[in-house]
Amino acid sequence: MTYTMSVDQQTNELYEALSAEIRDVLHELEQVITVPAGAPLIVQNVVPEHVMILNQGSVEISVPAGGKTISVALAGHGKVFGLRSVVSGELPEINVICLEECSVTVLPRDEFIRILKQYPQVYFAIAKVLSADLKLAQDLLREMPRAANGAARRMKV
Amino acid sequence: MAPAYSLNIVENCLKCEFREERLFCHLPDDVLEELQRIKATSVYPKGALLCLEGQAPRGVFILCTGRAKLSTTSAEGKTIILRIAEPGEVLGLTAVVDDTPYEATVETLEPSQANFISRNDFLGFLETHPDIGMKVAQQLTHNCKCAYEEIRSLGLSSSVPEKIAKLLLKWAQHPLHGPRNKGEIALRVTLTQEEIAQFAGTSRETVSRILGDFRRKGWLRIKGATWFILNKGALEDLVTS
Repeated sequence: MTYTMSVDQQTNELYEALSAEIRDVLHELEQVITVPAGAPLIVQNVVPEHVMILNQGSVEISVPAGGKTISVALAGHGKVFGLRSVVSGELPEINVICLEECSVTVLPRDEFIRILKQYPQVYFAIAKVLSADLKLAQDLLREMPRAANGAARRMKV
Repeated sequence: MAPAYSLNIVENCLKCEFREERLFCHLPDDVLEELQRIKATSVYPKGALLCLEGQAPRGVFILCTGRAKLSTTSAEGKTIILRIAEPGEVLGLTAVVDDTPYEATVETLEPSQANFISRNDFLGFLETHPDIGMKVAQQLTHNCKCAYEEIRSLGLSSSVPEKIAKLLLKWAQHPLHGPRNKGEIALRVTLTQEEIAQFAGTSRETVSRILGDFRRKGWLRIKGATWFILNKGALEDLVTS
């Protein structure tokens, strides 16, 4: 089974919980970049310099485990990455790799943190994104212990 | 009169000695006073169900004392323990934030105190104090980290002895205090062998056999709910082999 995230096509999972005023402030920080297939958006143990919003294309979210990679989910338009690092300052545990050429909106991390201080309401929107991430991880955990084969299906060596 | 379940019940969050150590309770006095108004304090015996997987989100529970297991059910109907919640954790956050059913069943592992806040009150509290959203986000960040660690651990563990050794080593990070023999680590284990099996994705019989094996090898001694790790290095070798 492959989990695929779905987000409102008109917006993204972060902005859909924000007021128009805050969205306008964030729009001013935005830059759109193109990332080739196979390139990483998030690398385990590397602090992301941006909050990233996937506009177009698809990515794979995975957890490295020794020499193996455990696929957590595939994600497409509207998925947001890099927020956990903004909130906690901790290094990411996951890898996010583009499966095809992706269009990505990036918001510089430091600027985003400045906006957070100005508009703490953004934290609630972040909490919604993190809730979605947690659900994906728990869905996988539900599947993993059932049988060795269940886990192996998602594992790449 | 002796307090219920011999717990030192703290009704007033402002007077709680742990408030500065705990993420969600470390709040300014005026904010904590408001929290005090919207929360309901209850004490629960071991085995009490705070919320059920699939149940509509009524609210969140702040676990003040005691520990609770978060479990879910696989499609095959097996119970899987996702993690053990420690004092200070807020339970039911994902469901309340997203207005979706509770993701896990929460059951107390020992007599516990929890403060319940209804969903409406909690969301209203967040709206009035948007900076509390930071605490919520930090708690969810912690939960995500635990989940990814568990995924990695399950992915790496190819054998049940490894998984159980990992559990023991994880618990050894919070040992019981007191005089011990050199190299000995004492743990308080409130999980049954059945629950350890649910953690490791195996059967109770297998857990019993593996623990017996660890004891025979002199790696572990079990005395009721107090377990003694006698050879941490051997467990570490098993995990890294």
